[in-house]
Amino acid sequence: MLKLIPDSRTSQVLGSFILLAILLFITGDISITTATPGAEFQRMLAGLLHPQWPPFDALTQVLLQTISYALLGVAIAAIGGFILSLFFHCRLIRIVCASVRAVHELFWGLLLIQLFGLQPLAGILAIAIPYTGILAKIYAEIKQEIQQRKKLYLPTHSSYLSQFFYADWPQIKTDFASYTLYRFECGLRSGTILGFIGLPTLGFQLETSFMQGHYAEVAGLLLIFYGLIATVHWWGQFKFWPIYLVLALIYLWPNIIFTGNNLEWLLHQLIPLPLSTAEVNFYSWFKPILTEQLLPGLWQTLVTGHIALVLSAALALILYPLLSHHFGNPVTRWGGHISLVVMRSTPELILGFAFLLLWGPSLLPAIAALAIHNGAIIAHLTGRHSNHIVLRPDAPSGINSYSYEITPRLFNQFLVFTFYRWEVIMRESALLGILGLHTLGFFIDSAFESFRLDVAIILIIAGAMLNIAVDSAGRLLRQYLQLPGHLVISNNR
Amino acid sequence: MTRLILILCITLFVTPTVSARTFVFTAIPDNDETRLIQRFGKIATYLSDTLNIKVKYIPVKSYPAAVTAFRHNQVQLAWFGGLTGVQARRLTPGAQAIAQGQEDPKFKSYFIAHISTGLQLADDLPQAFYGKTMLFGSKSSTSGRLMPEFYLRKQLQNTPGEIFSRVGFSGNHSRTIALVQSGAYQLGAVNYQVWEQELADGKIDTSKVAIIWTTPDYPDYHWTVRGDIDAVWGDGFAAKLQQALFDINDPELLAAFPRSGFIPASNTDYDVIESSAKNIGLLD
Amino acid sequence: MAEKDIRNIILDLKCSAVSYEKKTILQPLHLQITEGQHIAVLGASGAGKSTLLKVIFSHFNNTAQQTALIPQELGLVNNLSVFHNIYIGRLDQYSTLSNLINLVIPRDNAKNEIITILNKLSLSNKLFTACGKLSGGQQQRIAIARAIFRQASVLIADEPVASLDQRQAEIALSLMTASHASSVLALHNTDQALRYCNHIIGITHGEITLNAATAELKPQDLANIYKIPNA
Repeated sequence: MLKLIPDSRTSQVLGSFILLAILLFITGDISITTATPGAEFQRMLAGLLHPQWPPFDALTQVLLQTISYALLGVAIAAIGGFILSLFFHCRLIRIVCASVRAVHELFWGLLLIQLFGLQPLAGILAIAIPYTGILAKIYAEIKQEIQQRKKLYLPTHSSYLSQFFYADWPQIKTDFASYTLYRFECGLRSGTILGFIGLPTLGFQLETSFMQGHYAEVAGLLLIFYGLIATVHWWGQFKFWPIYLVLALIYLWPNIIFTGNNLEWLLHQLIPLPLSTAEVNFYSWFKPILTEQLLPGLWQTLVTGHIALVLSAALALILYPLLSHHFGNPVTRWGGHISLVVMRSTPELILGFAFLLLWGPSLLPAIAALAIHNGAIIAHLTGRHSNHIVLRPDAPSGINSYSYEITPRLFNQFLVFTFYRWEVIMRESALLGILGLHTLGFFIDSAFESFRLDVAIILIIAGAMLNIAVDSAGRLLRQYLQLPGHLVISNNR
Repeated sequence: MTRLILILCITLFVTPTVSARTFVFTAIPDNDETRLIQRFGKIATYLSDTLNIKVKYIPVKSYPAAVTAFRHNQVQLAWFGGLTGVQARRLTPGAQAIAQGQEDPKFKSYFIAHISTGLQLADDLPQAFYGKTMLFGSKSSTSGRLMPEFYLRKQLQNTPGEIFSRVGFSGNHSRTIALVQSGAYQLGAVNYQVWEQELADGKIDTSKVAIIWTTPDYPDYHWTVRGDIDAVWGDGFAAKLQQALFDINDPELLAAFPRSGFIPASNTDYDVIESSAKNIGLLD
Repeated sequence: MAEKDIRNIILDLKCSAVSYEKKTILQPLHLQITEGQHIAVLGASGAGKSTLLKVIFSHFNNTAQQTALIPQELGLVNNLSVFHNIYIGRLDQYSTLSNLINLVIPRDNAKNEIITILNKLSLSNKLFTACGKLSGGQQQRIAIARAIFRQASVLIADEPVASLDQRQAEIALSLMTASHASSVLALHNTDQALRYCNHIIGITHGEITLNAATAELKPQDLANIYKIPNA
């Protein structure tokens, strides 16, 4: 390790990350318990190879619902994010944005369903709220980068807003647009998985088919989902948005119900029980929550997230040559591109369910699902980055080039991508508790099942704080390792 | 291009608008959705014909989703389990249990085991449970979680977390059977009726999974309506609805449930469920 | 002249004009390189030295000659140690597996050989330092070490000593010419060219204007190279 990576800080940090992951893997709750996994795997494979589709009507409905949620959610988030980004120098705004984006869309969904019931408003806002936080941050970063350039040609006493719209806006609007479009793509994914908690989107059908073992239909629905994502640059262009938004509103309007009286009820439910009922003692109420849910949940989330992070990184290093112009030929790259799209677009929850079925319950299905999903994303970014590398005329080729030239040259950028995913992996590892392994998501889901919203909100806040902590740890680590600063990713995930 | 997309969208977006006066009901998703849609589609047709109003069944994803839809008046009637019924009535003041199946006052659960455990049908829960893996149904299922856990704690004097090496929740009974049958879990707790029905359908391989214990009887499934139903649908609507449920005698309809008929129910019938749930900490 | 023809010609280069974005960088040329020649390529900046070197390198690749290259931008891997950067010179001589193992467990004999080379270039204390952390002059010496470690018969180097002080440049040049049977070095110091090379090629505006052994050179020849023609 020490010889391979000459920079002592990097080798120490990576060494301890890997060592810790191995340690957690050995001691953690990881096993394959299914007695006969082969039979289910065969059924799964047979189904996946012969895709079938649900009736056209049902399919159209779920697709329109998914797209409408994503459109309206992202549109609201873009407006909200833009306004908030203007005030991003204010600490309070930054904290609010960091907090709302630290909570996964699905948890927002569970909470909003309590407020609005199972209706479009819950789905739209479950996307809009966290995305507002994300977009505000990215917009502010793009703006900061542009505004650092001196604008001496402007009259010195021009107002902030006129400076912004005359000097900055023309430069940043393409970056804004391409990032927002990328978020729309994410919104389609989020809209889909919101179906898993009961909103009538693609995920609803997907989960139903999966849970009933109709793998042929799962395959059909996934193909449609990949198609939707793969063609979004064609049909999702901004010039069509005004039409789309109007149509989405018309489509969802009959089902949207604006209710105010539930807010009071919800707020009351969110107050910890001992504070609203005198006879319950706070300590005896909180202690089991802390020791039986919060702490074990946080620990399992950290274990799952950490092993998944290291595995994602390892997988990314193996997979990135699939995309890189330095290796293979156009045919292998095309194949590599397709497989990476499939790997990174398949919702982690579906991957997790599949592995759970094959291997039985332990942290392993979640770790594998996270590693495949995130590994493919990091591989995609790293592979694209590798295409910027220009080699000497006498550089080696093949594995020699991979190990002595390309990988060392893009290693720092690869680390940036990986640490950037760290927070996302933690958020998803909390979420995958919904599968039944005991990360935070399991306890949050249980709290919602028993309508203890006060417990749910405590766990959600704990998860958000974990995310904010990991986010800052990632930032500190990037500084410590002197890696490139922030990262604006557009048009990819 | 723009025009093409516009035309495409308009044709796609022509959707049937839901009339404001549709009576909507749901049910807890305790079973495969195909079966639920089949069963409750028939009920919707029957109620629609009998009451002369539009009736629609909407499927939901989870037990709490059924409760939430009921609380938000997105459904006016629901087929709940014992525990979800209690939860729904606690959250929705005025809601009334109006009918239950003839079998439901004496409902029971089976503990099932993968054949590799070597466990066999017994009168008491065996000490051999210790260290095994256990699968319940939905977290708020009465027959798949609450009552099995209640009797488990009573007999073995320990919590499931202390007894089993691993405790999982499958979401529904069909899933529980499939996962225990595949060996993903060693033990499971299921609704006896779902077991019998799947057995009759040939979905269960008895060389792989078997019943090892049956719980004592308890009250379970029932129909619950919202308290404001008469105000919206006219005086006496709840009573008419109740009577319509009692009058179901189409054998095909009853077989789809499967119940031999429906009889009156009241909120207090489920006090035992509420106290059991409080006992194991599922309700405060 | 007769003596030269007997010697082994290792490259017979006939080449049409090289253009980039409709601008001719190199005129058509015919050039022969024989074994034992150490050629200094001289010319004003922008005259086409680098392009000529690239053409020579690519033609050598089609011959049986082993060539080592030091490009102007060095081509070092910043994230790898000095040791591994120099080892890259011989990647094609070992099996891929042993190359991979060497990444984690450095091979002892390679280490000793590399330390010997680094000693001569006064860099032996930097063996496992990341290349990115070295100064420009140090990096240039690493690239020289990589070429020497390669043990090729021909060296092609584009301004290999540009960032070195005079003493270091002289050590490096004598080392480079001593460890290769033939070499082609783009240089901008005529004194160094005359001292370490036995043949000079002068290039002016993409055209070879001088091609003579050092011994046969007249002082005026060198001055002509840097003259601006048709000004």
